[in-house]
Amino acid sequence: MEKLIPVQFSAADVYAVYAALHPDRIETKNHTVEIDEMGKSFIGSGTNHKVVVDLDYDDFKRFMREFVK
Amino acid sequence: MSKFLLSTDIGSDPDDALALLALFNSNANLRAIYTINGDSKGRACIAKNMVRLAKKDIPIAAIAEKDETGRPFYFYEDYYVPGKCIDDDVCEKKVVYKPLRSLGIHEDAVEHAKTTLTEPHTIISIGPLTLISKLLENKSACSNIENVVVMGCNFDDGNLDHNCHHDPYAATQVFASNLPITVVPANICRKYRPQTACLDNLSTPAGNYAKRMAKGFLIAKLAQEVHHPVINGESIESLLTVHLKFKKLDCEMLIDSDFGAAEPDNYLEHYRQLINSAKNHPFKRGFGRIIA
Repeated sequence: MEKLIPVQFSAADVYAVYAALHPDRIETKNHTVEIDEMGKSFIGSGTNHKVVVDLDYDDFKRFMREFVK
Repeated sequence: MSKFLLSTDIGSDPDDALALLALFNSNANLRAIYTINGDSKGRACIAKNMVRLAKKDIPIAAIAEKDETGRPFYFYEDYYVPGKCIDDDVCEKKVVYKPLRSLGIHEDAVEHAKTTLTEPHTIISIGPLTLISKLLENKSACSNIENVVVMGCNFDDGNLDHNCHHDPYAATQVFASNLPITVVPANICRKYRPQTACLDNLSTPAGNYAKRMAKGFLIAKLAQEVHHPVINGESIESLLTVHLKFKKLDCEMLIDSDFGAAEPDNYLEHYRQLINSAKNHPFKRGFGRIIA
């Protein structure tokens, strides 16, 4: 039962804020994202969108400590 | 300095509230907050309360939706909305909000966004893409969208991402548009997840509010897990043991007397009711409302 107690939580939406405020700290690749009728996402052919493929996680942790308070 | 608009389904999963804290405390030039997804009015009340606690002056608008019966996945966020947002004279079984205008909340997010987008802005989208899809018809507004930063999409494991799945039509429209979009996919966000103990770092007035919401979310998630068939049938004593463990996370504050529940001494009974109710109606009833 103890394993049910979450030890971590999602901060997914904070990543979007971080990406918006610190575009210099994220790495992107150009792809075209497609969505099907169920809302499932795919990488299609094309380069219409920027997809974040990596970011400075150490700096993100600093961002969390400094601003999510 | 870039100007930002936030499109959010704040409530339910607390990471929207954490994102809002990040915007507040980094002094980002946040020009408006738009709430979407089901109970957009209730979500707007939550955003309004956070703005008030942070002593910010940021307009909030709820997207107008025909179906007001659409509810968030969990209802416990209602628990954290001060009663003054709810019309107690009308509200018995159903939540009836006071007119949003009387709460200082704009009633039409799309119209508000159109008037705001007379100058360039970046939209940060941390919910379904409903609002942005509705802006696509307005070329003038779209011409002032410098970028849309979308938290959403899942390219790795084939699972559906909530934000695209909840309004797939909007997601399809937005990604097929000519808007400049930066996607932060789920796999990027999974690489680092903060420890639950980090919630104790939330110490500002708005942060404390978000902390209560986050811990409420965790305990409701636990209640949902308890319903899982694998462990369904555990004795209530076992469940309460888990709850006592949970107390280390101060989750008992979920049902403290400041937020409408009975005396804290009765919290075990409240939790028992929560579990029983969750078993009987796991997807139809709101945990928070039951607790409250």
